[in-house]
Parts: sequence; structure tokens; C-alpha cells
Amino acid sequence: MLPPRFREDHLGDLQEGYQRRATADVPGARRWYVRQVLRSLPGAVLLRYRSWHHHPTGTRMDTAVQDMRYGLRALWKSPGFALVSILTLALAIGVNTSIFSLISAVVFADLPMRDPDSVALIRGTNAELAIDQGSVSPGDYMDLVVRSRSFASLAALTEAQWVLTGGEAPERVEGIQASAGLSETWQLPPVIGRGFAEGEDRWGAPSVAMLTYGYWQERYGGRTDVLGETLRLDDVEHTIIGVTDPRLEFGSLRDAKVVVPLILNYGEPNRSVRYLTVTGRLAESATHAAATAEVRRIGEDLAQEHPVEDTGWGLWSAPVRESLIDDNGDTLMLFLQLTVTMVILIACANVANMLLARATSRAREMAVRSALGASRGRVVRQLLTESLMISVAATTIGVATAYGLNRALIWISAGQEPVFLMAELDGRVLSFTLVVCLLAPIAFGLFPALRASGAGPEAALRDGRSGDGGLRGKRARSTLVTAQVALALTLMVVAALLTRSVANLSARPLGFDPSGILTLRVDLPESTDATPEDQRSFFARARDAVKEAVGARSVALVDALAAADVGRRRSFVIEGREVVEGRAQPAGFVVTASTDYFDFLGLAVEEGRGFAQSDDDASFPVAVVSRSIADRYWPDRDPVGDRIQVSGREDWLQVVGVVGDVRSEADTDQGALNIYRPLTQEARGGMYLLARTGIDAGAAAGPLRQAIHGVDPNQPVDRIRTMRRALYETGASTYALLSLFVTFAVFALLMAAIGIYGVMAYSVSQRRNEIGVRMALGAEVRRVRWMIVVQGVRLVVVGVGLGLVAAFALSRLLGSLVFGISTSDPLTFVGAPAVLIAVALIANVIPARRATLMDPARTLRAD
Amino acid sequence: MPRGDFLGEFEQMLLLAVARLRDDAYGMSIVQELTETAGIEPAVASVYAALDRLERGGLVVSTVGQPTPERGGRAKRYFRLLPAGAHALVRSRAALGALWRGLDLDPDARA
Repeated sequence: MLPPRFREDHLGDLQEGYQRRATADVPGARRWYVRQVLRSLPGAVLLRYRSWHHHPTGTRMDTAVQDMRYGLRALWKSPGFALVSILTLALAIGVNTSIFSLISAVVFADLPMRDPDSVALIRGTNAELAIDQGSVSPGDYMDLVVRSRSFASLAALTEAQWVLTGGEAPERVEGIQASAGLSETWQLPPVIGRGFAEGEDRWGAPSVAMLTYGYWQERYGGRTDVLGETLRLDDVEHTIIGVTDPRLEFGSLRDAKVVVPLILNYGEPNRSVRYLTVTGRLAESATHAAATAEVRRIGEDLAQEHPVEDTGWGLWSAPVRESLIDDNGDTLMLFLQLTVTMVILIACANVANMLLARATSRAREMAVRSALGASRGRVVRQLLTESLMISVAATTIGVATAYGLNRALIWISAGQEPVFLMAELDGRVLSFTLVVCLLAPIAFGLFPALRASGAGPEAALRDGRSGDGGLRGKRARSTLVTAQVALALTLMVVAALLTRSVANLSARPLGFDPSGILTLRVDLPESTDATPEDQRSFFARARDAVKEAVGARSVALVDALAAADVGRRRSFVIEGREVVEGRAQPAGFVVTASTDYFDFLGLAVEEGRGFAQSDDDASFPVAVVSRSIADRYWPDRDPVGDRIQVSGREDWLQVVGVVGDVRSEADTDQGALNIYRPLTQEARGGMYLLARTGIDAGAAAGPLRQAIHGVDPNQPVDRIRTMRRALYETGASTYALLSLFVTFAVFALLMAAIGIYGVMAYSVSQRRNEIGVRMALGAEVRRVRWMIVVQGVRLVVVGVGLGLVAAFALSRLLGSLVFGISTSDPLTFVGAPAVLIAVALIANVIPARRATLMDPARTLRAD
Repeated sequence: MPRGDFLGEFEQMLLLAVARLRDDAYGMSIVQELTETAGIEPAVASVYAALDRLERGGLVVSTVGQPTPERGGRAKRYFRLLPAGAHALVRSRAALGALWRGLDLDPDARA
């Protein structure tokens, strides 16, 4: 504790005092000694503090400035080393912070509820359809509420949209329909006013609404007298009764503006439409395991009781935090974590390697310094200052990188992935990374510093010629490089597998030509008094207006964009065919389209006919099915002429034709399983208008809005974009994730190359003498180069071997994410090592060349 | 000197002990002297801390002596009072004396 100036004196005094007392009373003397030591602490701290401030030989600050000046000079003299270490660390910090922000956004998310650990998310599952995060049907939910005992309260909600009128312009507002139990289950009492009372979620109750906190602030400026005012949603007056807790605006509920009661109890509860998100708060005595078992049993019972709708479907309950991401997401997150850890390891290995090499090569410089009287502390401090300067520079660049990467991810994912939006740079993660990255180089710098200063100056000076850090140092560096190569290869294989999967996915035929198609969405208010006639006539007029506004050759209408959206998922029964017990019913996606839709997209009518104007309310209901669904459910015959009954409908639909496939939005090589219905028979409130035009989306937006408002000033227009953009947004979050992996892989490859280069260049510089002698004795240039290259290649080959084993093991886990190739895809497993070895060779040949270009006479004379 | 020109009580005691010990004032002997004469037993490190400060103020000077076997072969650091130190002691005593003049305090008397 004491500064060195007083340490010896003090110890001497203590010893003397102890001796004096010990002659009379040994235990007493011991007690005295201990007491003295303890009581010395404050004085020692004071002395130490003071000697920091008044250093007898110049002030502290002077030495620090001097250290920094030396440090700068040293780094300036080896710009390669400085640049590479700073960039390596900076990238590591940037990537690390950005990814861990993503992970922590999911893992430590502030869920919109109090005590989220005792809240479970209840999901619908269907093994046959590979759905494990499905929603729950109203019928099943209502039975669950009656039958379950594990939950103190249950709540269901679904996202909804309304058109809000009564303001200056009609406004589309997003919101939530929630059952009355929501505030109890999530334990989020309203900020002002009250939540939904029992009975307000019944059919026929007066219409009430709550505002979300954000909307209350934004539109009402946080006025408390807003209670009792009314909101006109889809032409129905809703009385405002309260404002929700700000935490509710979470994840996909981020933009919610209003919350209205979810009304489920009209008519026979529907079981075939699954759209409810169900959460439950565990009862006092219940556990998650018990709740899961109970919910599962109820699901099995329901499947027995309602075979038509529920066969194949089950219910599952899990802690809400675990349910934030699906199983594929879990795998991805695991991979991201692994990857980031690897990247960090590689980066650290590189910096450690360089610092080690540098420290050993500077052993001589340090020895000279200590021989000239620099204390050991001074030399160590000098080396540490250099490490710290690297850290600080790297941290600055790294934080900027993290920020940029975060923005880039949000941009690439086009706002389609809530996880990316949640992952604002996390302060906790950032500070953690900063601490680690400030400390890491110091730790790596300290080890070589201590080693360099530990050796006596005499030894280092005498042995100045070899200064190799000995066999041990060499082996340590070789091990680091081998590990780097192995890690880099593993990453490259994973990235290549994912890239090829995504390439395969986007190479699937679209089934139509998306170029020159402009899309926009209009959702009519679901007002009670709009008849199908009204809706149809609105869209007929809108179509003409759009056609005129952008000079389109043709305009078609559809309620789900091909290859970007899915239609309404429905199971159906084929007339005359047995419903097989215990097997899921046929299912497809119902898409409503205008008569000319197939022509518009250029989908060929392969069997029967397309829609005709004569398919109207007066004629029998018809459907056209896609090639894939025909092949799947009518494998050995032509479906034209058969009749199907789609769940939720009483009438039978006559299949009149089969059209060509459009690509499925899901990750499958099958075409979309579509059942098309003509708009003339099935009016919809929300439709896309598709226009073939040369005008781009930006220029068309204004005229399009005006055109729609010309038809009806009360209709909001949404999502004006090109078909290509719509397709991109469908895959955007995949692209974002993919670009992350590719970034990592390229980064890892670069790092490994730098590592190999560093080690080889260093080893060559240490062997200058040997090479000089060989050359002087007449060795062929080629053979000398070969000797050096072989040495480097040995490291790479061992690394590649280890990496292949690791990559092979890891790729098993990728299973569900890989599409169109096997997880042990030969091209990947040969290509990635080939690229790596090629890069490694280049990193190897440069120092080898340099070695043989040296003039042997000069290298020999130099020593 | 920090805090004006006057010495603190502990500083005065230390300087007086150093003065009394003449050529034999080092850490342990100063502690001994303070214990025996003044009845306080400070930690050796606080003695060093205070003397270090006085040395910076130019009131004492320290020299390193020869190692002795009873100290485990460690050297003693001897302190010697400088004229400035003697001056400061005298001035402190004069100031205190002036303040005491005419006072007759009885700590045991009830107010």
C-alpha cells in the first residue's frame, strides 16, 4: 500500500517495534503488529495519493504526456500494426454491440406487463402444418376460459385497424381489440379513467374505447378531460373511457392508437378462424409446467369434440418471454450469439497475436531503456499506454460502427421485423462492450509487457539477435492462427449455406412478371351499413380513377398480393370425399380477385376457365384453384367440376378452373395454395389496386391519392409501392439477417488472413539471418520461398481441418433454415475452404517474397 | 504550510518529539516517544504521512540511515527539525499562549 519511498522504513519500524514487544509478551506483540498494520491504511492511502500529485521527479501529468508522445511515435512508426489493431477491435466492438443489442432486446425486453415471469402465452399448434406459434380461435379461447384452472385470469387480443373520421381528414388508425381481462392479466392499470368493465366485451354493449398513451399525448396533448368524448371508428361512435399504460405500445403494438373491447359472444363461436393472441396470468399456486400440461389437455379434448375444425390442432402454453421469438428465431439467435462470440474471439486473438509479436520484437528496445535506468514500472506503463491508445481509438470507431450497423439493419429489413426496431442501441450492452474493449487490450498488452520487462536487460541485450520470444511464444502464436482459421471457416460455411438458401428462395419462379406494377391498398371502414354493393361500386370507380390518374394500361384488384401476402387461411371439404378421422382437412388460402386478375398477372388458365363477368350474385358461386393446390388435393384427377365447401361458409363453391402458380410467401418450393374467388361474388372491404404503368411509385403517389379521394374523400390510401418493393419487403428481415452473417464471414476471413500474414511476416523478419545465410550459400529463391510458404500452409491446413469438423457439426443445427440444398452441401464444404486457403496463400506469399527479395549481404551485415 | 501558518496539534506533537529525540528520530522511536511522553499511540504510517507533509513544507528533513539487524536488515529513515520547523513551533506556542492568557478553565465545573 505504501509508496516505495516509505515502504522499507515502515516495515523496518514495524519489525523493530515487534521485536521490542516480543521480548516481553509474544501474543501482545503480534496483536500490536496487526493493529498497526490496520491503522496504517488511512495514512498509507494519504501518502500514496499525495505522491501521485507531487511526484518528486516531475509531475504525473508530465510522465503521462511523455508516455503518450512515445506511444504515438511508436504507433506512427508501425502504421500497419496500429491500423490493423484499431480496425480489428473497432469492428469487433461495433458488431458485438449491435448484435448483443438485438439479443438483449429480445431477452431482456421490457414486456408490456408487470411481473411477466408469471404470464404465459397460449398458442395454437399444428404439427402437420408445422405451426408452433399459431393463434387461437375464438371458440377455443372461450372454452379455455371456462375449463382452465391454472390461470388467475386470461385475456385475448387481436390487432385491428379502423378508419377514424370526424377530424380534418379520414385517418387510418391501428389498434387493439382486447377482452376485458387484459388489464388484469398484464396488470397494467389505466393511466387515467378506467379499463373495460365486465360486460363491455359483450355483443350489444355500448361502444367504448381507450386511447393508448402515445396517441393521447400526440392527438389530445394529454388533456385529462378527454374522458367522455367520442371517437368515430368505422362510422361508430365510441366513448373514450380511459388511457392505457405507455408500456402497452410494445413490439407490433408499437403503433396502436386505440383499444376497444373484443366482442366474441355473438352467434356460434367460430373455431376455424384463428386470430387471437391469448395470454394468461398464472394462479397463485400454479406453475408454468402445470399450466402447459393443462392447456395441452384442453387442446386435445377440443380436438376430439370438434373434429371438423380442430383436428390436428393443439394448444400449448409457455412463459411469455420464451415465446417472443419462434423456433427458427431461436436457432438464428443462437447462431448469432455463437457467431458474435467467434468474431470477438478472432479479433482478440489477432490483437493479442500482434501485441505478443510486437512485444517480443521490442524486447531489445525495452532492455535498452531499462539499462539506461528506466524502472520496470515505467517500461510497463509505456507499453500499457500504447495499448490504451489503441483501445480508445478502436472504441470510438467501434461505437460509430455499431450505430451504423444498427441503422443499416433497420433499413435493410425495411421496418418489417419488430425485433430490429426494438433493438435500438442498448446502453447496457454498449457500456459493457466499452468496458470489455478498454480492458481487453490492456490485458493483452500487460502480458507481453510484463514478459518483456521481466527478462533482465543483460539477457535481452546479449540475445538481441534472435529476440524471437522463444519456442513457447512461437507455438502460442501458431495456435492462435490455427484457431482463427478454424473459426473463420466455420463462419464461412454457415454464411454460405444461408446465402445459398436465400438465393434459392428468391430464385423460385414468381409465376408472373412484377415489373411495371404499382400497388396501393384501400381499406374501407367496416361500417355496419355498407352493403357488398357499395363496396363493389366503390372499387369499380376507384379502378377507373386510378387507371386515368397514372395512365395505366390495365388495373386489377386483389385482396392479397401475389408472393408477398397470404390470403385467408381456410380448411375446406371436397364434396363426396370422406373426411378422414385424425388427419387434418385440406386447407388453402382464399384470395379474392377481380375478373381480369389472371390476365393482368399473366397467369395461364391451365384447366377449365377463369372468372367471367357472368359469375355474379345471380349465378352459382365459383372458385378457381392454383396448380399446386390442385396437384396436392386432386393428385390423380382434374378438380374442375368438383364442389368444395370452405370453412365458415354454408354454400358450396364450384371449381371452374385451374391457374398457374404464383410463388408462395412461405419458405417452401411449392407454389401458393390459393383458392381464388371472384370479386363479383365476394365483396371485400380491403383491396389492393394493381396498375401496370411506367410511372414510378414516388411520382404516382400524389395523383393516386387524389384519384381515390376524388371517388370518396373519406377513404385513406395506404402503402403505395411498386410490386418489386412489396416483394422485397416480404423477404426483408431474412435479407437483413443474411447480410449480418455474410458481414461476419467476410470479417472473419479478413481477420484470419491478417493473422496469418502477421505471423508469417513476423517469422520471416525473425529469420532474416537464416534466410540471408541460405541465400548467400546459393539456395534457390524458389526453394526458400517454398520453405516459408509450407510453414504457413501447415497452420492453415490444420485450421481448415478443425474448422470443417466444427462447421459440419454446426450445420446440423441449421436444418430448418436451409432451403434447396443439403446442410452438408458439397459445393459449400469444398468452396469455403478453397476460398480460405486461397486467401491464406496470398497472405503467406507476400512475406515469403519479401524474404527472398532481401539482399543477403545487407541482412547479414545489419547484425 | 497548508491551512495558514499554524501547525495542527498532531503536527506540533510530532515536531516536538522529533526535536526531543535529536539525532535518533525515526518512525518507531517517534511513536515510542509520543506514547511515553504524550500518552498517544499513533499508527506508524500516519506518522510518516504527517512527516511527509511537514517535509514538503520545509519544516523537517529526512535522511536514510544504515540497515540494522533488529529491523530485519531494513534501513531507518531519520528526521531532523529544520530552523523553519523550530520557528513554526515557537510561533504556535506563542499564539496559543496569548489565547490562554487570562483564562481559567475548569472542565469539571458544571455550567
